[in-house]
Amino acid sequence: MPARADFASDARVPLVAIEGVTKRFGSALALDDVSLEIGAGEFFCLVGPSGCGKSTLLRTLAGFEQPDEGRTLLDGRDIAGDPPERRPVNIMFQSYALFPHMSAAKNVAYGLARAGLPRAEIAARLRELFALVRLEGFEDRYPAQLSGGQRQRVALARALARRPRLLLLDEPLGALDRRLREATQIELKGIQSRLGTTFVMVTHDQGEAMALADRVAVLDRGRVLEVGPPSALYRRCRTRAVAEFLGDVNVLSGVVVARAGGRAQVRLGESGALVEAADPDGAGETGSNVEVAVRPEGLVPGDALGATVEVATDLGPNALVIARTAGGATLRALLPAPGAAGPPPPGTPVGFAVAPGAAWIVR
Amino acid sequence: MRGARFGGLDLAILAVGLAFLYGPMLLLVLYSFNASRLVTVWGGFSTRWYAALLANEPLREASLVSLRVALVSAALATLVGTLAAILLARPGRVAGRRTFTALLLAPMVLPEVIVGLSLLLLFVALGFERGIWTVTLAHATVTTAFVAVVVQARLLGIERDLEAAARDLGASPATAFLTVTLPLAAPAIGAGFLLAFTLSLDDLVVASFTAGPGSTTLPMRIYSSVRLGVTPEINAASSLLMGLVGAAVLVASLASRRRAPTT
Ligand SMILES: Nc1ncnc2c1ncn2[C@@H]1O[C@H](COP(=O)(O)OP(=O)(O)O)[C@@H](O)[C@H]1O
Ligand SMILES: [Mg+2]
Repeated sequence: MPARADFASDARVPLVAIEGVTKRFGSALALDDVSLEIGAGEFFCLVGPSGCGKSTLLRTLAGFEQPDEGRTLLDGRDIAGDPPERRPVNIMFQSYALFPHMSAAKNVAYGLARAGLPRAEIAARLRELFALVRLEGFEDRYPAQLSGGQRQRVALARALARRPRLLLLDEPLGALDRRLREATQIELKGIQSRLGTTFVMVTHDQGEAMALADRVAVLDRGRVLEVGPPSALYRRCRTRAVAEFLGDVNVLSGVVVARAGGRAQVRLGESGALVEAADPDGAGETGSNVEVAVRPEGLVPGDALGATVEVATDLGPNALVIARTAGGATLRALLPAPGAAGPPPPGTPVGFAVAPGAAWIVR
Repeated sequence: MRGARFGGLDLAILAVGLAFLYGPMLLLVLYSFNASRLVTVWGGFSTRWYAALLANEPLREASLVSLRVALVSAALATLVGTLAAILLARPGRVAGRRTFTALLLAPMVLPEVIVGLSLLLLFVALGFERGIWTVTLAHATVTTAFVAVVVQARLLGIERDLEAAARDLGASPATAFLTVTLPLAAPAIGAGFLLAFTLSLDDLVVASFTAGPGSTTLPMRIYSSVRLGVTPEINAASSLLMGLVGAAVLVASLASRRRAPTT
């Protein structure tokens, strides 16, 4: 189990440092004292519900919004006064914002022409970029003549053309259908690791963040709730809100009866069963009431928790069982594939136990 | 709901409406090709009145005055109207945006007689000698609002992030405007110009108030001749004017519908 890490690697120089940034629109607080450090070469994801300030944070880094308080540093230098055109940062807009009156090639070349590159060099770079996003042959098409996925690639190539230190992506895959999105995720990750460019990507899809990010920051109402590698946050986060945002989770209440190292023995309130839960922060003192989080895949057949099946769905590789305990709590468990017999019918009594290492204490 | 078919009754109503609108104009064009001098008697097809028109010094002069006034006033109105539209369509907060928009658009609904009279008073107060320049300025004043409306509508339809994307890719605010916003707004600016041009070309009221000796416009000349009796020559002049205005309106509507190429 990976330990909680606030930074992917301390050896990396933070490329971006956001220090106490606050941004208001009128009386609305879009960013509330946000502090983050992002290392060079990192694939960093911002996740959070709609309206939590993700786009505002990207627009602040790109230079379209000025923070009301706090500083944004790039390579240790405060970039507050730099207009967007003078930052070594590029952004891929949620809407792609392709220029409708220019061909795909003209769109991608726009930033290169502004940099005053000679024609021959622009042509060479265009070939590279169109190959990188696998759009050879579409150079002369206008945005209106391209599919959604092709437009997304043109926008990516255009944003990469100036070889930015930092690439900002605002829900780059949001407009694609599920299949295409999954294929594009893999490609995006490939392009990022090949170029070594630092990516900061906004998504409201926690699965996408899990699949792509080196580290994730979970935002809510303008505040950073938690930061860390997605697999660590998924299994060991500090707060219930983050646990719930990152996927399905069962939250059980109980009392700490013993502690040892980073672990606590918790007697569950309803069944009285003893569960061992990770508690890296030491949140639960002996005798205190705590909440224990367990992912659906952390519940296994056993006898610690008795319940009756409400709905069971065969998902193919496994079955999702939603069951209710005698006390009225709902449990969600991801069990092995039910086989040809099918999932258990509603009303079937079931028993669960917590898999070793699967539970942790949340606030 | 789209796709509803016209029924017989609908077609009849449409035909009556169109006949009411365009019948008189068709009649006028028809009579401009009338060989007879009598306006109400058909004497066979002839282009003699168009030839006579060419030989008619006052009508020819009035046509030239009208064209010059229309071209210059439309150019002025396009410049000022476009600048106003750009300011009023800026994203974010613009102090007094609503007030300025209302003030800009008011001339569109003010009675022309009042606009004409107030401009006349202004020119007199400023000691301007009335002539082709006062008509031109007056027309520019009236038509600026129309240009601003057409251009502003287009600017508001342009995605806000496009200019931001240009900035992000290294363009200064001016370059972003010139390479992205302006080309996208160009069809509307062209349409605004043609609209201002046609409005100027067929204005009678404002021109009558603000014209001086030697700056009689074609509508003014036609109107004053008609008071002495309609001649086929006037029919010919009117037909030409109609043709010009019609062509401008057609070009304007085609231009404003133009999009980036599809398929
Ligand atoms: N230009 C703006 N003017 C006023 N309010 C804004 C503006 N941009 C964003 N906001 C507000 O700030 C908050 C955060 O918005 P945003 O950053 O777009 O959220 P997200 O991208 O996470 O959905 C929202 O409440 C939004 O309404
Ligand atoms: Mg957003």
